[in-house]
Amino acid sequence: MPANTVTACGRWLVILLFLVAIGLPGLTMLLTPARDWSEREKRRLAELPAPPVSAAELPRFFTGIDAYLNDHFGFRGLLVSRYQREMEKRFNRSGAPGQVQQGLDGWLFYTAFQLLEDFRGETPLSASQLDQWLAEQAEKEAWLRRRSIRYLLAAAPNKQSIYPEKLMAKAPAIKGTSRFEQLEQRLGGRLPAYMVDLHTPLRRAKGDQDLYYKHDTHWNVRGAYLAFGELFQRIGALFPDQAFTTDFAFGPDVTSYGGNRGIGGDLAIILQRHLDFKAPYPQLRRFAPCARPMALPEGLSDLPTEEDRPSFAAGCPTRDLTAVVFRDSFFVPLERLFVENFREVLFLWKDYSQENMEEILATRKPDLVLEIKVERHLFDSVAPRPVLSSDSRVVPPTPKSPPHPQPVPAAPAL
Amino acid sequence: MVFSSITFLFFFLPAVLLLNGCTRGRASNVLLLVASLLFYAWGEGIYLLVMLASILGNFAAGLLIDRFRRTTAGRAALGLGVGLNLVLLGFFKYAVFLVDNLNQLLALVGLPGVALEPVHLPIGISFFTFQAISYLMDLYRGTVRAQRNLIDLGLYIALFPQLIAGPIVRYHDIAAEIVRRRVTSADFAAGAERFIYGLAKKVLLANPLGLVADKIFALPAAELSPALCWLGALCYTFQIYYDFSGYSDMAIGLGRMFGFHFLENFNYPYVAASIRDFWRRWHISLSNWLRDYVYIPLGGNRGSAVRTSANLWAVFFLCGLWHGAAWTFVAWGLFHGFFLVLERSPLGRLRDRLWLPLRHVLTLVVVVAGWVLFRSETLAEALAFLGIMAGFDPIPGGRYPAAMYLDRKTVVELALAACLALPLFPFLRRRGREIIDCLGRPWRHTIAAGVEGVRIALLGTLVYCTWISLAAGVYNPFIYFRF
Repeated sequence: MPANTVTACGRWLVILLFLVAIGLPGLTMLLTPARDWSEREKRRLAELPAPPVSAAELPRFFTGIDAYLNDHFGFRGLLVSRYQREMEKRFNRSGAPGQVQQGLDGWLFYTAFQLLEDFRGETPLSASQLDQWLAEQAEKEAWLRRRSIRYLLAAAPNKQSIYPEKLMAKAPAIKGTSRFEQLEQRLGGRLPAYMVDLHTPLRRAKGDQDLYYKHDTHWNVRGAYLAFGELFQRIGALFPDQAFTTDFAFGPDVTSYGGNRGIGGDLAIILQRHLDFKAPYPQLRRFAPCARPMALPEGLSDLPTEEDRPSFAAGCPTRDLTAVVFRDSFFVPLERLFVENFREVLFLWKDYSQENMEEILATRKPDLVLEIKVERHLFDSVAPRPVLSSDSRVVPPTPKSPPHPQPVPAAPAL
Repeated sequence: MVFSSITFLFFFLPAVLLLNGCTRGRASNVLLLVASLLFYAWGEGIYLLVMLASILGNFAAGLLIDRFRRTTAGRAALGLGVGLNLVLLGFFKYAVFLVDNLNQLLALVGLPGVALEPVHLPIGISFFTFQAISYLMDLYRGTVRAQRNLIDLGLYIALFPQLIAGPIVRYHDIAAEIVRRRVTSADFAAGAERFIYGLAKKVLLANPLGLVADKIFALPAAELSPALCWLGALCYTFQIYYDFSGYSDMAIGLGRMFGFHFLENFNYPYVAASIRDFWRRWHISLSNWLRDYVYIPLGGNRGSAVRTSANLWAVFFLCGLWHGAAWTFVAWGLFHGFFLVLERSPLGRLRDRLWLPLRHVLTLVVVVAGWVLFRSETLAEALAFLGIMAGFDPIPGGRYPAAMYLDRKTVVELALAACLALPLFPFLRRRGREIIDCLGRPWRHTIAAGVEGVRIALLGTLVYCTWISLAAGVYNPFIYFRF
């Protein structure tokens, strides 16, 4: 074949490659129906923004278009899954930088919300923030106590707080003082009376049995059961005349996809590999529950409406006490055990809400309010963390960048 | 909007290419100008008015200079035009910096400070004001003719390929192409290939190495070790090169796809054997601009050694300041100015007699040290960082081992970055052509076809790797376990 033909063929192949590469994703998006939900990402996808009615609305409109196109361009899911595969296959690295870190022995760790920085002690609370947080909790407790309602607060530990040695080989060398440890140090190692310490018993018990799922952020049923025991030790002290049911038997371990929701670990889901990991995990034996579903009080404000963040009521009619539980996903495996001990429990999927408490008090007075949330969100009221750290994206926000703009605007542009 | 965004790559660019393919002549210029203004407004919103003001102001100034060339009125028009550009740049870029420094001085003497609300910096203002100034200066010197069509001048100032990150294009380089241009398949293919290389440099090398540099530079001095500092400095050295040269490649590639031929902006700067050589290879359009519009008008090297040194100091003071409104940028500029002056001294002539590889290493050490100044938030931080690099380690060993940041991916990226910073491909291409030319006809064509195949396979691989990385950048799983 003559050289100039080879060159011409090569040239046209390059043009074809380029035009297909830039044209196909957009064309595919335009020709396929838009989705509003991403099963992979477990979230609603961005919608087209409303057209601007003034020049001032143009930035919002353009940002909205960017968000829409970022969520809807063609072959998005395929490209993302290919990226994650390549990262793991070529570099043995998590395909979700800034969100999931591959630890040792196949353990996965969540790294969003600056969890690694917290582990290294790089996001400390100031003294005034700690004071403010303690004051907020004390005020909550005092308000409830004046109404003869007991209040308990518990922090479900971050996985790396219990298993630092699984995080990375150099973990002890880089460990700093986390925010929770700052609180402990501030109080001389003793948490406030209304707080239940879950860190110490979990660390003590971890031994040979895993208390957290390898591929999930959450504790497994064994870890949850341990937390349940600690909570009821404290509840028992508050209500000494009550006999609580706290002994539940474990069955044989099950080998399956596991995870807090039983469909694979949430960290594996982020990596889109939840169907790749089957591991043994503990299961409680079935028991005949006393508790029955009940109706939530009407008119409770601002409850999440998503199916996977349910608020509901249940109770065992033979019991005396009632409770309100403000909880997150860590409390899910404890719910059916907890409810066996109360005549009525209102399970609300949110942080403690004064507004909700006042609404509840209009129709009933609970004996106990329990607030339980994961450690990483314990101090959100005084120092919320950004969802994704600076290393979360392919394109980082740099404090001082090269002399032209970065896609995430944080640097001096020219 | 930036070149590596989904919006630009999969929507804006295909649409503009398609529409440009359907238009000719004036219509094409109108289309490109509208597209460029939309591109600018996308990220800057109301600050598009700054761009429009610049276009109108420079258009009017250009006509005045042309009308009164070589007269006092012409000089006044030049002064007015350049002054307006500098006022624009000065206000948006330096006002806050100047007021902050003024307030510090006022505080020293116990006087109240001046209050100034934060001023938004319109993207690319440093580039398009410098372009506009070069147009007015060349017009006054008579090296170009005034552009009497507002659309065409607007296109020169606002053309989106080089708007936000250069290269700084001289009017005379594209004056003919603004009026008449033709896009051949060779141009388009070369442009596409160049764009892919530039995007790959940015996404696959600059961004990930930048992540490592960011983490290391964010550590307090007490946590740093010499190895960690060198790692951070090297990562930043590669980040800034691949980021900036990547953008230039994309700009040049885009320009060719639309029929414009911009000049090269980088020429393997990290193989420079001296700082002087470095500035002939790094951001060539800026160094040429400074040479032609600052250094030479100041007298260049035509005066005494002292005068030449003063001119170099002045140029590099401005060079540093142009890069950013902070003393670290100024320090970086003066740092380079110092070495340029030194190279002209007897010590520099002594240096020129050293073994060539040693000269390369010394130059690279100076450049890397300069980047530490450039990257640091404050001079104190920069000095602490450089001190640790030199072995003055406050806490021996530091807290974080360098190996913590060196996983397999980072090692591969660093190795690739180091190799590609060398002019390997041009060397291989030259040698390859020489070898092919020596072969007999059938072999020549077979091997040429093979080489072409490898080139396209490489491009395809780069597209694959870059595209999946871009997609990962917008992957955002809902943190359902937030609650």
